[in-house]
Amino acid sequence: MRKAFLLGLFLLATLLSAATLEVLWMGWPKDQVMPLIEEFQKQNPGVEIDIQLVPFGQLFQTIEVRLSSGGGTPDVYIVDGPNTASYAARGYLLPLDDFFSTQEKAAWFPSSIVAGSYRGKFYSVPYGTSSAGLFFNKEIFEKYGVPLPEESLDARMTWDEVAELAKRLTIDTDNDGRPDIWGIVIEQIDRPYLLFPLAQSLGAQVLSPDGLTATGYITSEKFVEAATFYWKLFNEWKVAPQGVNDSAIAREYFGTGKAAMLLGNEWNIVRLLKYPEIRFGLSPFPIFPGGTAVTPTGSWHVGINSKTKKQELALKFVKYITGKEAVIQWYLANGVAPARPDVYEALPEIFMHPMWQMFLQEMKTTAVTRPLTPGYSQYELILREAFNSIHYGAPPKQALEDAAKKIDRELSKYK
Amino acid sequence: MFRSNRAGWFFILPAFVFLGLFKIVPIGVSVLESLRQTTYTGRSYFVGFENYTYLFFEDPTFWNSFWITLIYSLVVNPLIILIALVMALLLNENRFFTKFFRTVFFLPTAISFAVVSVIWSVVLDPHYGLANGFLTLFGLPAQPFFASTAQALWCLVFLNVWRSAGYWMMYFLAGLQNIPESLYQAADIDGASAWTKTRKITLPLLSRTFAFVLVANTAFNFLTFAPVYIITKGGPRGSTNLLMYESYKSAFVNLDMGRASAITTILLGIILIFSLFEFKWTKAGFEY
Repeated sequence: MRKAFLLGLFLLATLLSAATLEVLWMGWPKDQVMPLIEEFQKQNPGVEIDIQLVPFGQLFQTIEVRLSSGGGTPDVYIVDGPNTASYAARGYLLPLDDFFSTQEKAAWFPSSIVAGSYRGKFYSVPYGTSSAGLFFNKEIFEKYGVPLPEESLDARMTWDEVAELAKRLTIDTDNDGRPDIWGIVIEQIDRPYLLFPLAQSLGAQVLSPDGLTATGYITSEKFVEAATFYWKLFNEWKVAPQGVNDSAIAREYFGTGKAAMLLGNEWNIVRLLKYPEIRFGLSPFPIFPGGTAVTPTGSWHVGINSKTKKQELALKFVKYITGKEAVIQWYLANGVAPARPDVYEALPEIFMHPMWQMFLQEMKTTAVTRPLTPGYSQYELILREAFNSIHYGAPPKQALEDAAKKIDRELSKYK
Repeated sequence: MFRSNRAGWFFILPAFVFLGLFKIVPIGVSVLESLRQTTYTGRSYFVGFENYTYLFFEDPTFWNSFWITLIYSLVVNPLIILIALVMALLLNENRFFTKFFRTVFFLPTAISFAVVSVIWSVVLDPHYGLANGFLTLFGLPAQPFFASTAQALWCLVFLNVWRSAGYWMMYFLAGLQNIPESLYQAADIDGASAWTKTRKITLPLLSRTFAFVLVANTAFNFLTFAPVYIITKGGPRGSTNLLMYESYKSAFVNLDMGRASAITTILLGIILIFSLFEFKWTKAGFEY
């Protein structure tokens, strides 16, 4: 009797573990993610999705630690587009060419498929893409008599013009010596993602073509010039608040009228709905005088652990979560730009909006993907620390030279 | 004689096995690792002292982290011990109030450092924090706390003192309870004042406890990691980039195990030097 009971328990345990899929996911709010998971579980009775939501600040390090341990879990994990190469080079991602036909792959933007590939193989399924621009609070502009920027790609402002506006709109309303309205907040204050376009607009290359050398690239005169402009925003003109290290707090500044402009992502069209009392407009991502227009792009992908023991179920889940229906629900809840053209066609009333049209146009014409290197996460972390130091007042040239030295050491192991 | 000696070895054998397996071997592995480098494919090769020479002569962050770790330890350790000792001396009587405060002071220790970090990062948030709310309420200027190069390290010190002082207070209390009452009675007969009793009886007889607390606390604080990881990420401008965090980043983000192991080995060396020095300094001169 006891034996039978133990055997039953053992069988149950194997059965349960076989039907549980471990998913490591970006720490988006639970109420946005769970409906999608519940829907999948409803469609697949007996399947349990163990989804682990990890905050953005800890996400990449968690993925590194979990995957370097070499176990079969997490079965499925979220992949930042530029990390595809890094994970693929080390064999952390299951090559997906055998499971996605050419026809299936045609459902995504070609650029997203490229971002999810490494050395000709397809590794991470596109989930979202992105663009960015300059949001501005119309009420603050009107209240202080500053003419509104034109909401058109033909009227792209220069960074010098933006700096002038920011200076005029950094206002100390209660005369305590500290601004109560800031000219500008940067949504991802130190992320290379949002700051590359400044340097690229001046014509700087951010990494060597082979993706393995930073010295001479992030230390180039043009890159340093862009970083110096960034430094001035916080330290010379003091038109942007230091230490706003969380994008939700940056949004809070803008949404509660504590900042006149927000350099931020397309998802704010949805996420700013949280602040119904402000009226905002969108001006294209600025350029430097005489420079070229560049906007950031790329976003989340979904990958399968090459060592998973539940490949079939993992594939089913990945195809579901990146599929049209789930992505539509996902967009409505979270606002990240979909990587599938069919989602844009399915929601014309949303994507015909002028702001969306501007972002879509930017994605087609000015978007530049982040550099392709197997050491992206190292490169990104070190450069991010450099930007963070610069915004706190570190001399840009020195900070970037130190960063380049560190990056080169870490990238040399990929040579 | 010989046989009882052998029995002694057998008694400590289990402890030695576990100590070896879980402490000595990992330390050895880590030291060997610091002499190697690993490619992204996981192939590792011997490089001699390259990781060390890089740290000492070329690395742009190592010396900054080294000095910050040293300054942090030199401030936080005496502070914790002083506060723990004073609290223990004040609460070394069995009255209702002292028992109550002992519990209250010990409570922060029962909270994990990660949770302590989250709580204080919210309280000390420069924009929405409770602390600045109070400051402005009393007409004082709001402070940047963790967002300032000048204040972040001291906020870290404060956090650690807040959490750890109560813990080490318990050791001091245990030590105080061990001092025989008869010594105080004898001193009373000789007409010694409270201060003289503290100076001549309590503190000298507490020296063994003191030695343990000093060494354990020092080693513990050299390895401070959680609040850096959770609150500051080593910033602003590297002002809280303690060696343990630098080592962690090296290992798990930069996948540079050689450099990470070299840093922990250096850290081990520093702790060893400090401990030896502290043992020597606090060596009890007498027995009771």
